[in-house]
Amino acid sequence: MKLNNTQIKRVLIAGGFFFLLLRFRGYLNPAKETLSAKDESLSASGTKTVIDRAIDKIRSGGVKVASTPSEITN
Amino acid sequence: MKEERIATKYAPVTLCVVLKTEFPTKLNLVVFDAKNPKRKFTERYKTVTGEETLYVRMPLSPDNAVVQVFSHGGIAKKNDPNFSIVRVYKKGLERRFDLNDIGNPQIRSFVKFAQKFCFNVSELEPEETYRSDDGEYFIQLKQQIKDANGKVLGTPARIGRRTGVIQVSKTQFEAFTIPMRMAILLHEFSHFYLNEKMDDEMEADLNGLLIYLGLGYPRIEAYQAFLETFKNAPSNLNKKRYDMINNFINNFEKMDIVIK
Repeated sequence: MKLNNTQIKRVLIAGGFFFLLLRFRGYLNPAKETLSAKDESLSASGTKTVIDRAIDKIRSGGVKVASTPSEITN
Repeated sequence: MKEERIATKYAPVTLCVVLKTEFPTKLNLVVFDAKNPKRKFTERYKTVTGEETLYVRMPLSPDNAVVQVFSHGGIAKKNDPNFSIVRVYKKGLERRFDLNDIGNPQIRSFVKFAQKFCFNVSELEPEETYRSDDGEYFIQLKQQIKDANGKVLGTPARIGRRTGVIQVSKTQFEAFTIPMRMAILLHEFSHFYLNEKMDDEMEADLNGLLIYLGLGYPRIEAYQAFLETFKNAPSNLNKKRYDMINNFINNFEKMDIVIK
């Protein structure tokens, strides 16, 4: 089977779309984790990394937040 | 006592207050809303030698701010010869993120609600419940927080472990600056909504502080908020908490700042 130029272009566009989707899937639908600004497994020198990671989670939305009990919102 | 007035137009700013003394002098600095002196943005002191600049980070600001400086001990003289305010000017606020950068709508909603509450608390009626725009978060404003037996508690705020409703003492909150109020509310929010272990004080301290410092609130007010809380309950745990908070704040300050 031989593909013409238009078909090749479509395949490349579709490939690019899936590549971008996979590359940025964390931002589109971030996995929710606890914020964990505190991480006792790390020494004081590792605190900066913990802070950086926690800030990234806040910016990307990937923080697990407990929901308000329904008796309050109803 | 000397005063300067500066238009801040409700924008996030850093106020730079240049002070000059003839000899080392302990000076108090207070910044408050020209419309409401109970709405304070900082209240601190420093021994100033020669010419020094004090920086006041204000993620929240009033329309017009009053910068008040007086020598320690409360000399009320209008023309205190011991010091002078050389200049007060504004510059951009450095911070890791602003409200709109917070990707999680639940955290964003609480921060927006908490900021509005902290800014307006002195004008809010006590014994009422206030709720966030999305109806998710509730704050009960009490004149004083009491236990089940009617005994007044020393805590400025607490959160219900089953309901997630925050109770705030108006009497205590009014004595605090806006950043101190934010540090306390973010701590309570963290207990219920962010903590892995709800009762873990240190986890709540750090999760709350991360949001507080990330938004650009001043470091000094965070210390004051925790010291005010700890002074009512001196214990080994609180000493450990203080050391950890101190370490965390110092590490945070060493990080690169991303937005202005």
